[in-house]
Amino acid sequence: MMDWINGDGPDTDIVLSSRVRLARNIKGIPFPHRLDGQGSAKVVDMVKEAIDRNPVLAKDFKLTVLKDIPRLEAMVYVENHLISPALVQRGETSAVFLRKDSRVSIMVNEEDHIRMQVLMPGLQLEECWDLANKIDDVLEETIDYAFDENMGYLTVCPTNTGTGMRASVMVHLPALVLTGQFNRVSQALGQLGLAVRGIYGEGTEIVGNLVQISNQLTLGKSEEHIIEGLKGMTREIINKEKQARDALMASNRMALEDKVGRSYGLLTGARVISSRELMDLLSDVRLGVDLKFLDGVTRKALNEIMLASQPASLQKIAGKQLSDTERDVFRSEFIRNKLK
Amino acid sequence: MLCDRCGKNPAVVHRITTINGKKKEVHLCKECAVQEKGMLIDDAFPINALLSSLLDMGTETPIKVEKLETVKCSQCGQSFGDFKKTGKLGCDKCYAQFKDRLLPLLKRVQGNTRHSGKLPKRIGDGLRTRRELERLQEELERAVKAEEYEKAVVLRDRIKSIKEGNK
Repeated sequence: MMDWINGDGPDTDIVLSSRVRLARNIKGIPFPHRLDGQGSAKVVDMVKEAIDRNPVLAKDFKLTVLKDIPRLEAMVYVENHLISPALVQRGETSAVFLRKDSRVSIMVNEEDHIRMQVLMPGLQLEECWDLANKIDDVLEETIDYAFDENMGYLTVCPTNTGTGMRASVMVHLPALVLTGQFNRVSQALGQLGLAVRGIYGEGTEIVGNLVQISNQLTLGKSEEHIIEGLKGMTREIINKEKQARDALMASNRMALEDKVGRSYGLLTGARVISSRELMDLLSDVRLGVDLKFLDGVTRKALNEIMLASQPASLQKIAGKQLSDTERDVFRSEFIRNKLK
Repeated sequence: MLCDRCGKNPAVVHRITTINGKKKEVHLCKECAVQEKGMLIDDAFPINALLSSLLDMGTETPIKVEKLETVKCSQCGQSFGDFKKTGKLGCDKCYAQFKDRLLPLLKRVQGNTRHSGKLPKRIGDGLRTRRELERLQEELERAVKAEEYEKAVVLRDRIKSIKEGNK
């Protein structure tokens, strides 16, 4: 189980999780989109060898070949942010090495030969980078990376060239949205070279007031600089969100408590809940937990509901295929049990 | 509304097209929409299209461009034209082979063409030392500008000792 779900980590009232992803390729081997089955299998073997040579990594990581697992299982991994949708799309040739605690995944034959990601609860960007950097060092002892003195790590898409690093935080900003400040904040972030997206990655809409903020550029600045910049901005956003929450509490406490209470009532009383509706209700209830309006509801329960309510995860729990309508009914049952 | 195709599930994807003034509506459920071509939009951001349009902002004459685009990478066989279409390079060697055209593109999308982050450990200490010297030199210039002379002296000595150690 991913430990960020427990909801304890630095600043978890606003930052759900931090993530660092490194893109790497192997010298002298065509990139995944130009490899056949045999070539791709060789890349998986090379990464496996690099991991096996290190006793610690060999013990902690487990290899999953995508074509060996049911698609539903793979989609559950995607919904849990352990692998990317692109890895599933390349399911014929791709694989993932997953660390036992689910904090680290090393994806093979995604867009690039290697994409390793470290995911931690709360605001822990430096810690994520530190761990990713160490694992990268270990892989590099065995694997010759595609690297250029001037251009840095060479990646399939030039938008990743250089550090190959994408660092991001997932933040919950209900008060900035409620007070109408979110768009301004979002614009400012854009001007500072940071990308603002929904939680399902590129091009996705923002749902449940959850936002993913990441660095746009990968070339020219060191990893530490990029992390420092993103961390600094995240701190700013945390402060802004806190100020907005304080302002709402001071001016509209009753309205706020009412909103939280109504959403909690819907979550526990409804018999049919779509995933979109759920995300909005969860946002209100999460804010209620942060502001201590609701006793006995934990962030952990809310995180579990958020993850389990996605289509593949829900069907896995149900142990059978569910239609859209059946899912909405089963989802509400699951929520009621969790919040009992 | 039920799906036009299977008639069982509720329709969740809708397409309305108007061709020669004739309006046509298609309503499908998720399952059927996946099978129908062009109904579900690819979820990836069209970064590739953007990249190639950036490339076309170059100044070369069309004839020269055409010639360049059919040249293939000696390692993976991908041409620059392929890259323009897909936004994906074929292998590490493509970077060296198409460098002249890639550098302006990197400059446009990244605002920079020089990596200053992590270096693979095994790349040789020479580059590492050169980079360290550059970094110290920059810091020294900053220190002098800020009139932090004590810091500047420390930096100068450090640079000197690295250079001497390298001889």
